Amino acid sequence: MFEDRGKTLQTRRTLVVRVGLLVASAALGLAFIAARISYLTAWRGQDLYDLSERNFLKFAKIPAPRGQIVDRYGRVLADSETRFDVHVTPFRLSREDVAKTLDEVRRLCPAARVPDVAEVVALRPRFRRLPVASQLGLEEVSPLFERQAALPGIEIEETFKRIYPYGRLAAHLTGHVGAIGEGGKDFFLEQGYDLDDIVGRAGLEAKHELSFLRGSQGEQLVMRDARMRVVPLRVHRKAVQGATLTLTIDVDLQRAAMNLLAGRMGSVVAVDPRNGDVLALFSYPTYDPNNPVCGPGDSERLDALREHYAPGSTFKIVTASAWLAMGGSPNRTETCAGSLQVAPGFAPKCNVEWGHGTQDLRGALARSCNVYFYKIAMDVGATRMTEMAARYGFGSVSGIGLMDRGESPGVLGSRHGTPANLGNTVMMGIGQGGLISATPLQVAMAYAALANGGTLFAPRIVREIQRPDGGTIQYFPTPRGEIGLSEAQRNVLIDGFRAAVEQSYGTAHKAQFDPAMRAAGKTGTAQRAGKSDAWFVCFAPWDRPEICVAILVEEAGHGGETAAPLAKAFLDEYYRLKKTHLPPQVARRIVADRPNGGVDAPFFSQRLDPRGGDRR
Amino acid sequence: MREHPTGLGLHARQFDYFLAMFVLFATGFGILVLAGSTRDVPELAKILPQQARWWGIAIGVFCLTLAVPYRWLKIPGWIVYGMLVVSLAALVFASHLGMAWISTVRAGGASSWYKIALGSSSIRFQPSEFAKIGVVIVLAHWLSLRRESIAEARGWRKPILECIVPLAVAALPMAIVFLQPDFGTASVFLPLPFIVLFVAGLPWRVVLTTVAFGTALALGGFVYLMNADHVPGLKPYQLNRIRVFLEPLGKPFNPPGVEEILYGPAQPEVAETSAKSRDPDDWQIRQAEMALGSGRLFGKGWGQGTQSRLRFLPAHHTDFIFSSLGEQFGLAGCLALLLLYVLIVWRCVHVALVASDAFGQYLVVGLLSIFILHVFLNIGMSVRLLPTTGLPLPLFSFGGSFLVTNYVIFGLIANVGMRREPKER
Repeated sequence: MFEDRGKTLQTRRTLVVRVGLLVASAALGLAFIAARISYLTAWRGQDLYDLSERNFLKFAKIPAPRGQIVDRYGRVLADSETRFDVHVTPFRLSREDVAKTLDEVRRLCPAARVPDVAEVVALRPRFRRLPVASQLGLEEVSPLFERQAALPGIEIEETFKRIYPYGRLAAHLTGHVGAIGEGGKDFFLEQGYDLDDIVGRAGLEAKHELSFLRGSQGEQLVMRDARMRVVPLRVHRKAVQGATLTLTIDVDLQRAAMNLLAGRMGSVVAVDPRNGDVLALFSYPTYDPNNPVCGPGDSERLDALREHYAPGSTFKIVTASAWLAMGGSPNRTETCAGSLQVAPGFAPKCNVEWGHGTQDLRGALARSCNVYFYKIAMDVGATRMTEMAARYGFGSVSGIGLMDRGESPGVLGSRHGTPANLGNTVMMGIGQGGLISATPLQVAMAYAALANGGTLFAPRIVREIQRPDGGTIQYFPTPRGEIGLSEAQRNVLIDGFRAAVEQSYGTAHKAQFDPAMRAAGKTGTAQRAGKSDAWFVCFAPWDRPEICVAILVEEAGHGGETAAPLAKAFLDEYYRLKKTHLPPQVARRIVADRPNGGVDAPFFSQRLDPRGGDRR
Repeated sequence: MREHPTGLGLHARQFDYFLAMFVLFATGFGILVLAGSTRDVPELAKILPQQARWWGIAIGVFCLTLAVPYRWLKIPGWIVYGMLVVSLAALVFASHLGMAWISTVRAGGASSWYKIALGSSSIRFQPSEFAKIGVVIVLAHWLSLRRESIAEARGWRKPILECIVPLAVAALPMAIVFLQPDFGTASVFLPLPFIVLFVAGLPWRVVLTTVAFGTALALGGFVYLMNADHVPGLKPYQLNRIRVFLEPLGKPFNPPGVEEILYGPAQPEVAETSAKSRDPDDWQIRQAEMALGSGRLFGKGWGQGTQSRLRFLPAHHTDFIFSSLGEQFGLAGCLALLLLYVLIVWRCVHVALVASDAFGQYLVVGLLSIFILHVFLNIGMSVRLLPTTGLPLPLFSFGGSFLVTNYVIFGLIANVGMRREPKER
């Protein structure tokens, strides 16, 4: 009995001791754990808290669409379309998952350029990403959107693509956009750009990049979860689209210019003499701003104002003006015998071998008689011609708001380094030689100045900039100066130009301008390296001019035969359009509601055959 | 020895209401944390009602467990044990046959690491959870029969022979679970026979020798696993996982910075050799630690846990729920839960000491050991004291069969407690 009881006590003691030991060791473990928890929460808590904040909160930019560029009737020359970029990241994914995702993307989205699995998996640090497809349209990306939950590692971002509905038609004007190059890197970073931003690289896109077209990026706070899915929390600043640029260009005229040149090298400049508005400004070769990689036969240079040519006989406007301004009589007659013995061994020819006979200033302008102008030029001298040319805008940049640098001032007089002598003074009288060289734009503006009553305007290409907040910046016509001729003197010149078009002896008569147009013009044929550049510049109607066109076709022979018919066709188109066009204000209101400005855009870019020739 | 009174009134009087209350508190606290971490997360919207439903079922099972006198479980325990071992084996067999609908468990798993993590969540029926209870019942029964011979065993041969049956009883399911492979559950099985043997009065010299031997084995195994190129019987990823587990023990602890978290370890040569395999584990455990620590003293507030709700915290509703608790309620919340656990253990130890027979004592000690081991392994993993084992936190984690298992455990303990011999007056 005692033994039994002692045994029970013994057993009981063993139980208590051993359970006690177990409890004690558990308490020891508990102490470790409690200490560790206290260390993590109380000692390192703030650090870990900050880390966890950084884990998921970040600021993300909201891209802003660039502003539009529209023509004078509101038709969109440059637009921003919503597109989607797709990236893949291996962050927190196994190789198999990445492979599965990429296979799925390949299946769902044929447009994607899917990278190799190894390439994705090898990314370090692992949250970096590789582009899978960029600039996808909504239809292309929507299968991915729908299945995004099943595509770990895929990120889809909204972005904007710059599109130019008219393609090559206005490429030189709008310019194009592109990535920030190495050259502009520092500048753009200073202006608050990111390295992967798209900026204007040429034309108006570049010129108005900073102040207007760029728009302002929005900023939002996003929450990023462990699978890198981004959940927007709060928009701090909305993205604001860039301002809309309204140009003075008429797309229809621009197209007419392109079709007329039909793949020949040359330029067409059409301005409104009354205010200097540029209605059409086209040079061939051009390029495709949607894919701004210049292939063979493409050029980003707008030759109409970046290249200077001998103006040829179109410069006789200056010679004649200088003669009249120094008090010379328009009735001075000279006899042309086909050439003029200026000096021993120097007898420049006229444009017809057998000579023009006897004529006054008007007749000489109409016939484009060189001998007459050789003589005048000798009397006027290089200095006066240079001075008059400067008043017409030659020798200086036109001030067109299209580019900051790169417009050619041309060559004028000895100020550009060539000393005047008898020989080049005589040649300057007919727009040849080392003393004069001009851009087609300068020629157009000069004739516009004569036509409008003597005011030289700076060409205006941006008429208005409408900011998204409603503010509007208007560009007013900007007179640069007066040519300083009396009305009678101007009429002498205009009479000469009329005769060139209207009279049977006129150099442009063969083009058969419609008399109802009341056009006045001047041909020019400039020698360059053994070939002739064909010029024609005209304005209409001559008494109340509303359009002035300068056309240059390079290496195309005689101006009256090559360039004048183009000008005639251009004026025909202008008057045809004038009948159908509504006033700009009304038209703009109508087309504003229609996508794409109501014009079927691809038509133009397709019709142009880069090898030349109009297929119509 | 007279018969125990079995009247309902006596049982109701001896029922440990405090124990039941603490258990209910813990589960309610867990549901609160779950509600906070799944708030406004659509993918996890069904978790809360599911857990509430399971709680109801668990309470019902608890009451059923109380109704059956625990002494009746001795023989059925063996039968159930046998059935569980068979079904565990069938499970492994099925998984090896590729019958994924049975064996693969993982909601929202992303890497191969998850594919093998069986036994921690949404499987319909987890034999391994109930197998733990079965093992304890069988051990308790066997050792209550062998108690005297164990306590009086002299020499070396007899006590070691006494150990063979209990060790085999635990080793059988453990081996099967290890093959699943579920290291966490296996590591719960391992100590059970030792603990119950210890309480049953295994002589001290055997205990101490075992401890010494086990320590040497663990050290040797550690060195071997960390250095061997290939370990027979282990697939490379298993070996890698073990190494990831053990690595923190082998190197000084460095607080991680953001760079380290995102870019991986600073030393390139380490990154080259093991970054690939260790990437997910390391990332997750650091996120878990960050979640817990970022709660600071009083937490970010209920439902404000960014780590858990944005899914930085892996398995935040099951294995890493303690980190989620820390994130939402801070040090205060963690200590509150630990206190609750201490109170539960206190009540259970009391039951173990007042139980009227050896079977009851060993049963309570064994069941309590399951509970405590789970708590330690889970919290130790969450705070990066122990390797990641993928064990849920008892009474707290989401998971139906685990919750029911826990209520069965405490039901049995309360059962033992209320059927104790009343004090002599």
